[in-house]
Amino acid sequence: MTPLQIVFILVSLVTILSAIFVVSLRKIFHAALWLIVTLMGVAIIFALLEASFFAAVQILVYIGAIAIILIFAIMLTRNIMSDDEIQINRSWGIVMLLVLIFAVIFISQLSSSAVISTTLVPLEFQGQESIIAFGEGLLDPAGYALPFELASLLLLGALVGGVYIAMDKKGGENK
Amino acid sequence: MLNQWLYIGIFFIIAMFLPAVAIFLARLLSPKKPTKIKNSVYECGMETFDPTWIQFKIQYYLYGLIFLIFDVEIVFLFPFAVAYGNLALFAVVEAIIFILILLGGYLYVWRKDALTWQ
Repeated sequence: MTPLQIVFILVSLVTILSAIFVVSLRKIFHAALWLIVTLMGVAIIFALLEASFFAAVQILVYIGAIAIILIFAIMLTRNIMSDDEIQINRSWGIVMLLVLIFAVIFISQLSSSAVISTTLVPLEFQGQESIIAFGEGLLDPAGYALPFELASLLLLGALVGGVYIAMDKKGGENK
Repeated sequence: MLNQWLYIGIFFIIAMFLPAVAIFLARLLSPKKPTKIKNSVYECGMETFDPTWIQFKIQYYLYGLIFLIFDVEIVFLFPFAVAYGNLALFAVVEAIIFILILLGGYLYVWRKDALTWQ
């Protein structure tokens, strides 16, 4: 095994383990903290795939903002942070079975398709060139210009919707 | 490319290692004589009153949400800024439209007084 593979396996194990903690821990606040570890693992996997920009975005946006918002949401909605709730309900056995069946079907279908046998090709861009190419493609009218503008609309929707729901209604009606 | 991340990884490990060693050594060496006063909750030397785990104001969430939206905006604008030298005028107009759409959202938040601390 190359060192890269060892790092990949270690990081994936940490990511999967912390993801299991997120869905199984009783204290919802601890689950949110483990989510940060999971997101960090995903960021390292992005870095291993030489997607530096996305690794940075993963840390900046997911860990820097979304995880914080999540923790805010827990502190706001639960009146105490030490909320002991069981994260499973009675039908967890059936759900586990269904998930297993789905996973078997999914993996068997994936392994027979051409996607899984594709070998990874390193990028021909060096250093900063990849982000320049990304920027050009993002704003190219023949490329991803429309999704770029739609992202702005999506963000606008999220902003207005989120603020409308979160805002104190009395304060809003004065205007 | 990956070598740069290797350096960051080494720094990350050292950054984790140093405080871990400090905490572990302190635990190993320090004598343990806990008393009631030593174990009590303190906050800047003041005696705490009321439960400390209170419900937070919704305003924190609003600020967090608005920060998140504009954080993502910066993420989208960053590739544009890096590739700026190679772009046509059309791309600049696109970026201006992108910013203007979000400016609308900002104006909405502003007019709705969501940014005023109550």
